[in-house]
Amino acid sequence: MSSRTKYIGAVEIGTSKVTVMIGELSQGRSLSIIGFGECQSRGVLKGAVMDFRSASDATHSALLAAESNAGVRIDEVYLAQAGGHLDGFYNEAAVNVSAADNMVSAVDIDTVMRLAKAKALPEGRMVVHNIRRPFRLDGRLVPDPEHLVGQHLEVGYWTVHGQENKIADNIHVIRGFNVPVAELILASLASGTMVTSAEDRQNGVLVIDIGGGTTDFALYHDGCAYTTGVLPVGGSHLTNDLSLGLRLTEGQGEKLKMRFGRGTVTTRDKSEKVWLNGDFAIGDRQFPRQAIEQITAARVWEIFEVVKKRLGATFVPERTAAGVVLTGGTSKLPGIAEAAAKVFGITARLGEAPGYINENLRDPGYCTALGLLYFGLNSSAEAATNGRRRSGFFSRLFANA
Amino acid sequence: MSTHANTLPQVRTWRDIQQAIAPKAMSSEGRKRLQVATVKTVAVLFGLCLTGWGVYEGMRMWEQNPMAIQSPVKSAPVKYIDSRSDGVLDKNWVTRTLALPKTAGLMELDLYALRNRLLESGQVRTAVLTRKFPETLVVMIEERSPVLRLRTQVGASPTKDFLVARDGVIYDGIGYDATLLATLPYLADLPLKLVQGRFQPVEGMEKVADLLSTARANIPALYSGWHVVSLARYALDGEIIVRSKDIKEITFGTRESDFFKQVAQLDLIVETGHVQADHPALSINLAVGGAQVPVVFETPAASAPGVKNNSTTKPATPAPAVRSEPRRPSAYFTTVHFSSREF
Repeated sequence: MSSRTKYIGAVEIGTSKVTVMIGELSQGRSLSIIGFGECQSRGVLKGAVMDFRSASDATHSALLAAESNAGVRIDEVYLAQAGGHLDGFYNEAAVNVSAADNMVSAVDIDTVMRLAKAKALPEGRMVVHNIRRPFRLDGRLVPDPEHLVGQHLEVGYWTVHGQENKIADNIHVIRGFNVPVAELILASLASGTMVTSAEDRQNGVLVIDIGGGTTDFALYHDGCAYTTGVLPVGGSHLTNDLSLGLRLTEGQGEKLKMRFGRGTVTTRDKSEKVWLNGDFAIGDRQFPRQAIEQITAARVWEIFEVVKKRLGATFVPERTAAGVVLTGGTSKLPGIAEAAAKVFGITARLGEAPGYINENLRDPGYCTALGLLYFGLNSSAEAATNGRRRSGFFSRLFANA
Repeated sequence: MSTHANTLPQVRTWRDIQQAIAPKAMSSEGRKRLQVATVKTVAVLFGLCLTGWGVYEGMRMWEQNPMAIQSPVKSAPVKYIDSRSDGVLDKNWVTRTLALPKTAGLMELDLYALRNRLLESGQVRTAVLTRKFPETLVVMIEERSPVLRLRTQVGASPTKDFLVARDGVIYDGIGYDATLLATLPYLADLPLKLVQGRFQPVEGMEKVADLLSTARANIPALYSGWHVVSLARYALDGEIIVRSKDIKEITFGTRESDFFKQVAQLDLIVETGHVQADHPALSINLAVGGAQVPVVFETPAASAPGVKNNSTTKPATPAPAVRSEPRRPSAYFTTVHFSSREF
């Protein structure tokens, strides 16, 4: 596979929209984004498929649009996984180094890794990701302990798991297009990789991806993801709050949110009003601006509070030097970074895709799909390198010896 | 370690999910893609089966009756000869020379032997013979071009003209225009060697060909008077001697100066009036090199008795009764200066 051009698709089936990007993977080493398709999502609630047929139609429309845009057929798909059903836990294991000279061998590493990953899950749950934290050899952090000398080797895994049925539904939507799913990647990890640098992740950074129906977060320390999570609350709840609070339809609430919603309240004048449509047509009404801001800011504040609560003791402001990075469609709300900074007590900023990404694709709403392509490139490069190593003449010779 | 491995709980990951779904659950586009993929797979399998069957049948036939494989190609006789040449040899000559039996099959032909048959003539430099199935033999010929003529007698046969090519090969010229051949000078003063009925190639013909082509291009009027090219002094001194209508002997050198310069010197000497009809030159030696060219003139013959000499007032003296000593021809060196002349 690595010796030819491969077309990989990055698919994010969100609550509000389905995004598809097609990348041309050449020799497993370089990737060009050659196709893009987007479609309004249907049959998806809080990141989970509720109506298979509607979700399939929407997803397949986006896939077709991307394929016709690129002029090629997708070979395999990297699928983003989100949804309130996802959960995670931390499990660690330790072994004593087996060699007499206390040099860590590949067998020791393999054993400790298998022990750390082996934790039974409740019925109907299955693993989506096992995210490894750095090894600890006699208490010191080491990225690769092989051939180092020590006595006690420890490693921990953050295991992300979800409901089997919901994960299967997501995969089957893609299979309905007769394309295999090559990799399932947590949405927060995909977007987190795109909006943070390796230095940010080393210093500690909290990435919050606020989508339409869910809010995904990932906390990075020492260059790797320590904790991830998904809240079944997103931008659509802000719309819902406005609809209920101001007695509007969902469409009108969405319109007000987009035009006047904010993450913090800045309007002091209670009498300041804004028009719903501004076209003076029949049915056009005025609403107090401060009320709109108060409703949206309260929900945004609440989302951040819940994230902070879910992180618990894992989140230490002093160990999160790179601050909070916000991404996702709802992160475009004005003042949302100030709200995050106040809640978490550290600096906050809006995430931006790297400069080499085309201007049209640098919207925060596309970070997850871009991150999926990035994962696709990395996994292909890794596979190509491993393949070459395996097929080397000397490797085979000494393997036999 | 194995105890650990046996007691560890089996953890299910998303990769354990069965990805295949029933075609009914697919969208129309998905079904279409599935059909295309199925057709592709079937076509590939069919192609593989067909190839395998063909190989099996071929091997079986080879083992049981190899003649059955050979006979189809054997049974195709040569009907056409497609001849292509860059010279004067035509299809009739090729057909005559090859002399293929009427019933000869295309696969039976020994192309190597046929090629040698064509090359025997000497006029053919290269010949490529290819089979074009089902019944055509394609012959592509590259011919030699004549540079000089050579008149000689082989054994008891009468004197005959041959042609000499640039690479020194001597051959019978076939199909050339007689007027073209008449313009070629003769090659002379050359010891010929006959090996197995064929002349050995002449050495130094490349230089001669270069000289003649330079002269033909730049001094066509003088060149037309060149009758004989002698290689008598070629092996020893590297000189080519040309005998022409106007000048008895023109010597060209092949070692240092180029032919273009020598031809230019010759033209200048003739044009500037050093050589005239009433004052003919015996020889011009252009092989000396440098700006000075030795020109040897013939001493004018004594006037006949009773005829008044225009150039001198001396009375004509009668011819001596006894034969006088041969007089040396007068000679002088002429200095040739070149300006920007165009030929």
